[in-house]
Amino acid sequence: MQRASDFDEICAEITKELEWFGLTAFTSLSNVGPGRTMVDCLFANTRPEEYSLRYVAKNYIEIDPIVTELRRKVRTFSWTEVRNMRPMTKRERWIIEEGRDFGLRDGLTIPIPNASGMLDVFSPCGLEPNLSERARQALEIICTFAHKALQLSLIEKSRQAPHQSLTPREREILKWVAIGKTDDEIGMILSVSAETVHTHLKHAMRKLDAGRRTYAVVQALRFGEISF
Amino acid sequence: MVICVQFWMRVAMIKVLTGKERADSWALFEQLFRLRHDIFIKQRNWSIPSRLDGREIDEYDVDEAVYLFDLDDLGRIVASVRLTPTECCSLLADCFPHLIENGQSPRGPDIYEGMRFIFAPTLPRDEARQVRIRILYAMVRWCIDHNIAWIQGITDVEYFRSFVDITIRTTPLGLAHPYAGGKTAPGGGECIAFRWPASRDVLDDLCTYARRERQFAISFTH
Repeated sequence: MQRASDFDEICAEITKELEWFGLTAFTSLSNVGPGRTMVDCLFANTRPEEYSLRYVAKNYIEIDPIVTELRRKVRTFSWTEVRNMRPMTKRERWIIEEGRDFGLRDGLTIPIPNASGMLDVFSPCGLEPNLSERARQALEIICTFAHKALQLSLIEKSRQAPHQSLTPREREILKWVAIGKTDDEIGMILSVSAETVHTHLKHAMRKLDAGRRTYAVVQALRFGEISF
Repeated sequence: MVICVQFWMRVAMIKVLTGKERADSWALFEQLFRLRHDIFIKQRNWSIPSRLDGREIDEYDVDEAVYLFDLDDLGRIVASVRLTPTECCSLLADCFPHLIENGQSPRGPDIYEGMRFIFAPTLPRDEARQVRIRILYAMVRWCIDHNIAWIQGITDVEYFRSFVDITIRTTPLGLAHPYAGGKTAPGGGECIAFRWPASRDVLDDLCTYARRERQFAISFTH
């Protein structure tokens, strides 16, 4: 990770390391804090796309018990610890169940104070990961480096490759993607076919050098192409 | 010896003294040891030997130790760090060898140990951050100029993350281990041993961390 510089290469390296512990996905967030949405903070995400889009669209960040715990106390903790700490509300249980449906049953939340005094977060997760004491100690180190490596690669990427500007239509479609709309739904809203939406989105993703829709939204926000 | 660290338009004077110079700079060392007592024993509640005279001095405050002082205009210590040559003085080797899990030796002719890193508790957060970067920069620069290859240290795992945030070249020597009863005990936590290469890449990383485009201007005066 210290040597790698390509974002996708780093993601692949991180995924390989996390698999040792039964962790199948991760998210990396920057400058987490009051008033900041998931889309504002997210800069790397390998959780299932459908789950991620639903999470953003339904604004789960406001009621996610993991996020609530992070706001309460800045420390590393597992999702199981949070569930065992107190009774979950009905909405909190719903979020947990949805995560399970996508193979995300347990994970770690690792807060990382950053240079500007705010909080970054790295969170690996999976169905039944090994989160023993020793595993956690190793994961804290791995995830700290993973987060930093991802950040550095994004900074380098932004510096090297100025992006192509999006068309007004591409920007409009990305905004609808950001709130969780499917291609069909966006087509109905804009009175065009789903195929047309898909084509515009594909062009936008290429311009933003994004392999996934959610990352295209992140990049578009970062470059100021869209805002909320 | 004095290192001038130009930080934007402000020049900070980092004074460098060895343990041999304690008698000649008695007042400054007095200030240091009392500040260390306040920070480590009173505030952080560390279980280290505490003198009744209100000074914190340990067996690594030896003639060979190198002290870096960041002083304000009135000569008050804003930040300080102690470097010791590991061949004769290594807290890591003597008391925390279990933190090394990668087979490397904690001692070497080109390895110095950075300990007792402090900055004045009354500093506002932004200034504390700048002071921290300055003293770290001066420390790395001094080591480069004296052909030291590595700076090693022991830190709480929470602070370790901020060292990685400064430079990804931070190298852990093993996993974190509990101290003073672990995370749930008052005054306890988890600590980890790590190293920084004393290199220009780390100096560049410090500049980047400080969000400055320009390099620090460094000069030495005797």
